[in-house]
Amino acid sequence: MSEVRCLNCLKRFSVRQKAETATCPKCKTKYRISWPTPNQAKIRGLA
Amino acid sequence: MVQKRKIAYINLTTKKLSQKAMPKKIRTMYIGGRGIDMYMLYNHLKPKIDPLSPQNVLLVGAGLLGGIPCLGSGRCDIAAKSPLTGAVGDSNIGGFFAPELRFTGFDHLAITGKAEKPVYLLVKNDEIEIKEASHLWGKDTFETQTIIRKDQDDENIKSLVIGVAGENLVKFANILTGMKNSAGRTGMGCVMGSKNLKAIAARGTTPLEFAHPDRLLEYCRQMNDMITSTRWSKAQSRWGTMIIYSNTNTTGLIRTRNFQLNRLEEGQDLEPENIDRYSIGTSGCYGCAVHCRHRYVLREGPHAPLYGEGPEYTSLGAFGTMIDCRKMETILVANHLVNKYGVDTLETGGLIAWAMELYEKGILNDKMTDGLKLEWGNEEALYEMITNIAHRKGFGNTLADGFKKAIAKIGNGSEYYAIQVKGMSNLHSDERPTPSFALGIATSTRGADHLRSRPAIDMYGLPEDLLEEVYGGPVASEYNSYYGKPRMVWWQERLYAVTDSIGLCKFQTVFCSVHAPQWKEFSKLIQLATGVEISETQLMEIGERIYTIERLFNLREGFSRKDDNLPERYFKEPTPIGLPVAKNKKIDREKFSKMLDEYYKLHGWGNDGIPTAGTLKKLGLDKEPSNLI
Repeated sequence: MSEVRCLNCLKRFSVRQKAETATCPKCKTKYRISWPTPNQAKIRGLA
Repeated sequence: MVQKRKIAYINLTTKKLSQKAMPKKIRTMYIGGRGIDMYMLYNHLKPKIDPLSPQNVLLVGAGLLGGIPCLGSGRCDIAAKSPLTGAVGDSNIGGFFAPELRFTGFDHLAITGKAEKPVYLLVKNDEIEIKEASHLWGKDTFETQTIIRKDQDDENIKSLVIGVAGENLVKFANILTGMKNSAGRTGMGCVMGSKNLKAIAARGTTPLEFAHPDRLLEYCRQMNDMITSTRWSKAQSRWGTMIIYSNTNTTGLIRTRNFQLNRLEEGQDLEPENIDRYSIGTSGCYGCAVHCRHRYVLREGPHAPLYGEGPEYTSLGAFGTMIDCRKMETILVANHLVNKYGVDTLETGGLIAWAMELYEKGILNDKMTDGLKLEWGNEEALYEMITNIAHRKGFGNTLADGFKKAIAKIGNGSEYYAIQVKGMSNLHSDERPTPSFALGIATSTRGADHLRSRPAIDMYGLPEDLLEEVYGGPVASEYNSYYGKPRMVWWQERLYAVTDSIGLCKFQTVFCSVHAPQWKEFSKLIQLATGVEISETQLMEIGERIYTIERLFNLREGFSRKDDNLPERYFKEPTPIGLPVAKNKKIDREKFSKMLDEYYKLHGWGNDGIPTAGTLKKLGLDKEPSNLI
């Protein structure tokens, strides 16, 4: 698991390992995810 | 202080060379790099001189900690009166030049006059020669460095060079070292060109002396661990500064089509992950453990074969979003061209984006652009404009003089569309949703600029108790808020002034990570390197002094509160798209004015933006110019 910060509501939320998309549990914004390192997720763009 | 600093004076008109030890008082008050450059800029120049006259001084300053094995200690500060803005000219360059300069025994160069014919400076151990450079004139930045190395039969020479843009006195010509490290902003390459100075080459073997070498080495290791453990640096190691694009474009914080939109829709090809298609690895500057610079190759297409380094986040905006080009390959080609010719990425992209909007609005037409279709997304027009600017050809000659002169020449309402402050283009960020960033670009001493004060951590929504601990006073967590933002800008200005003076990389201090080294760590590094104790509070005061002397320089040149402003569109046009946090936002004029008042107050300046007598006395600036060096 890794965390990212929602770019809309700024809430931190968990992303499962190797996931390519993730949805903010608070504001429901859906993102594409990439992995600069195997253990660190980052937001790539809107899904 | 163990590290005694030495300055060389070079007059290119008289060919007189001299050197002097840096007085202790100056070392104590301004440290090195940018700080000492700014002291000299204020002291050496008579007011209102023509920046392209022999009277202008080109200052090259290595940082106090240049050469230590951590935190990107290869930074070099280059200053002069800016030919682009008429204000402080100052640009900071990475790579390997600054440590090499220190290995020659020199820390600072002050270059005045104008050579009769093209020359370059060769700086070796305690010696400086003025060398003939007619064979280098007309060569691009890459060729110039290669020829100097061949001429001297030394592959380890490090050079600061200009390309054809500097020779042609393009007002925003840059200075380059290596394949992409650039002193890009404020036209320092133009000043070099005006002096017929093609390059400054350095090669030294003098060891640096440190007060506590073993402890310094161990602490540098800790610093490298500290920086490489941050989430920001881990991502930056993989995809460079381009990673910022993922957040800003997704949110809606990027200027698109000059200033018409705040997000590039269908901009997926510019995502940093796509550099993997072209990258053959990364490299770093001296003393850097992050290595954020990609080495890339284009193997196919009309521009192949092509090798380049970078691009930066700013390149994605300058040659992508601002002109609505949506291909990574366009960025890579344009990035290569500006580096080859030696022009500033941000200014070039900003001017071309502006011209494209003027073309769309009919303020420019085919006759004025020599038939060039300056349409959004026209990548061939982009390449041609970059080339024409560097060579001052056709309409490129108009843009080569920068915003101030181009606006005067084009007229017809063109000023409204120019996204510039004090005559310098803003980067591609859209600050309408972020008052702290907006204040920073308005107040920067060198014109619209993110590298003088940007509190990038404002984007993270950090807890307010943490922000108060960092900034020393209350600051709102929300980046849309105006509350406490002047304090953030003020704090960052001082931190970056000191960072530029000790010669470390801004990305390895509190820029994008709150967990990066700052005052405490800088204080300890200075103590271990030099044996001199400078407290965190004293460092903050040094930052204040440097920023204030820059302010004094600009005031003397005629700048005032009215110049600490934003383009009118920031106040009038709300952001049209983006996530809710960034959509329908504009800067409130009244709140902006109040931020400015508060910002001046924090600095100890009056509401007119002029430092008070008490502030000048407190900072030891009340007797400037003191002409100690």
